[in-house]
Amino acid sequence: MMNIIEVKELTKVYSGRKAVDSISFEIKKGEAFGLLGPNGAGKTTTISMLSCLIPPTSGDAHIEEKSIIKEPIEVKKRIGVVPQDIALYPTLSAKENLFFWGEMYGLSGRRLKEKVDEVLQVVGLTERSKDRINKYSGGMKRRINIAVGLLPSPKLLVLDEPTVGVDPQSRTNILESLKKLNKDGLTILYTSHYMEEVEFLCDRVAVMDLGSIIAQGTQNELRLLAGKMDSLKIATIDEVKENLGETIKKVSETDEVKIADRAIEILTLQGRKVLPKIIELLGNNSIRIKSVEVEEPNLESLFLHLTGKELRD
Amino acid sequence: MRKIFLIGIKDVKIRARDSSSFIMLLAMPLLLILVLGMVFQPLWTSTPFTIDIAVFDEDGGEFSKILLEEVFGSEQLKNMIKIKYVDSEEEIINEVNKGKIAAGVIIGEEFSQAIMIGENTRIKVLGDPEQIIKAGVIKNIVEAFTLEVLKRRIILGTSMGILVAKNLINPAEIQRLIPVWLSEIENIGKLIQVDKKTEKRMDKNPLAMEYYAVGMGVMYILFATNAGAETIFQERRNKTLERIKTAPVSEREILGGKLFGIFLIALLQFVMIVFFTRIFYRVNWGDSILGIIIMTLSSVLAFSGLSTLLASLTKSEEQIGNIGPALAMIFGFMGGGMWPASNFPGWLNMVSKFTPNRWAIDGFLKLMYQGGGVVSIIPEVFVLLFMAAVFFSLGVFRLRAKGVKID
Repeated sequence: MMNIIEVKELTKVYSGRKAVDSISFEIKKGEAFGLLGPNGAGKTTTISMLSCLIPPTSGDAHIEEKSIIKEPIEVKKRIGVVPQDIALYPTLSAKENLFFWGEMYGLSGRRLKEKVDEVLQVVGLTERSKDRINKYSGGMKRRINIAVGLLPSPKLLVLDEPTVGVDPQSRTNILESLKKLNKDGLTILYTSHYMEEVEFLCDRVAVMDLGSIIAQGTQNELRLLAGKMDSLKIATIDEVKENLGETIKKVSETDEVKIADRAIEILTLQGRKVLPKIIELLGNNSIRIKSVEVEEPNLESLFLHLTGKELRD
Repeated sequence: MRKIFLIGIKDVKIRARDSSSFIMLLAMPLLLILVLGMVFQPLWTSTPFTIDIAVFDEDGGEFSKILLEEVFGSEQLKNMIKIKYVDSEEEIINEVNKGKIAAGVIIGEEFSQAIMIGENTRIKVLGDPEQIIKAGVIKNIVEAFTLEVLKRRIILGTSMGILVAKNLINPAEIQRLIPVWLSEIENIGKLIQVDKKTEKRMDKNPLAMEYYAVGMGVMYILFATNAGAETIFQERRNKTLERIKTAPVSEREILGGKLFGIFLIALLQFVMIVFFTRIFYRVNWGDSILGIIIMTLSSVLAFSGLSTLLASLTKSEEQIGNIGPALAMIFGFMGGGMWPASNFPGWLNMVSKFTPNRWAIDGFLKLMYQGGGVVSIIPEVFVLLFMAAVFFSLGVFRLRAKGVKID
């Protein structure tokens, strides 16, 4: 599949400090690509360079073969940008905002009207389109913020943490809308420090920390990097005797078993497969179970594994 | 070009929806024009006020005649000083106590005779303490008169002394010649002259309402352009400027759009002030519609440039919000917004010519009172456009240097 964006050794230096340090990645047409990393990882600086807002110190990126350095206007025609902040005029209505931004993207007349109606429908705010933005809830503002990015029918939609400060319900709405747009063929570059969002939306992910990409690949590829062990945590009502440990090790095919009074922690390769056997074993020994927790490796644990710190640090 | 226009129109739309802007940019100047026009109207009429006085003339001689007829009755003072002749000092005291007159003048018996023979004499001025300014005016006029008389008496005394000492004249003849000489001195020139000269001669005097419609209207253009310039910072704060930059819009278009917005906001405000004052305050802005349009455009351009420069020199919305109104007030007053700058002391009059307000006010007043049409305002328009060019160039240069590029 054709690459829509190719980033090569992109670097941005501010006062001697490397905000982005020689990053490279590609995004294929129709793909949803995630840039995951904690605050200060360099995600927004990367997006700003790709949106032609700030020039890179070195390196380059091409969007549909147009250089962000040499052909910024051409690049801007091909991308829709949804900034981290709600960049709308609060005293104008949603529709007035969309008309203004559409005109800035070069739309006019009937095409503009159709496009405004279309994006309002996508974000589900047709009914409230005549209300002023300052009357909107945070989630609704975010949705209009995204709608603006969709106006130019972009080849690539770039979203910089678009759900910051949004309630869970609105977040789900936004993510589902984006998922649908992606399914319909829109290429997405999505940055977030929320692991669940990236897991939900993105096919491939680049993990950033301190300006560098420390890992990238499909979600499965990245999980493998984190280590193969699933973690089973079982809390019991009755005491678990130490001598049961050996039997559990046999059943779960691992040596990584810790027993402490009324808790068992098992690290195994196939957590879901061995769990029923362990439950059966505990039942046979008249040990009542209080709770069971299965933890499979995810991007959060990958980040922890690679950097020694949590994503939200 | 289209995007410049769209950005400007958007700024006007946003400003129009801001109720505080409506109050600040439209209601305030209109209210100020009304209040100032009404309060200061007496100062703007050709006879700013009249002074009622009473005179008890016991003398009836040569010098009292000069004071009453040639000084109080002079062309310059006759419309201001209303004289009532009375028959006693008590009557004057009574009138003053009742507040019916501002001052009373009592010219003693043989006042003129005493002057002629070189004896001491006096004129009494009784003033109403509650009309201290008017009474003071009368006192000053009488003092000036007596000073002039004294001066002439000294001239006469010295001359006569020399003539007698050199035996050129018989002392017996002196008594006969004094009135003749005095009369001849009198013919040389008026005793007291009020200087009628002003820097500008208007065909008629402006009415307060009309003057303040121009003065305040012009002053508030700067308020409006400052409000427009604030939108540059608002766009930054709202992150919308950054977003415009992610669209295929050039920096030139963004800057052009912002400047067009500044111009448009001020233009609409001033046009509304002109219409409102014309219809509701009956202000006559002159017969030359083209002249008014040209003056309006050039004034708004000059102030737009000034605000652009101000925006380039300030660092935040708060800064421009604090400095802008102060600058507008200083320029407004210094440029003649409250009182004609041509009446300022020499140095201040000169300084006022560095403000766009001065040229804008002068231009509009020419259209209103000289009826000269477009040709008469060429110097003012030229200076305003020159100011606009300088301010815009500096402002745009600085804005681009520090980045409407957006940091």
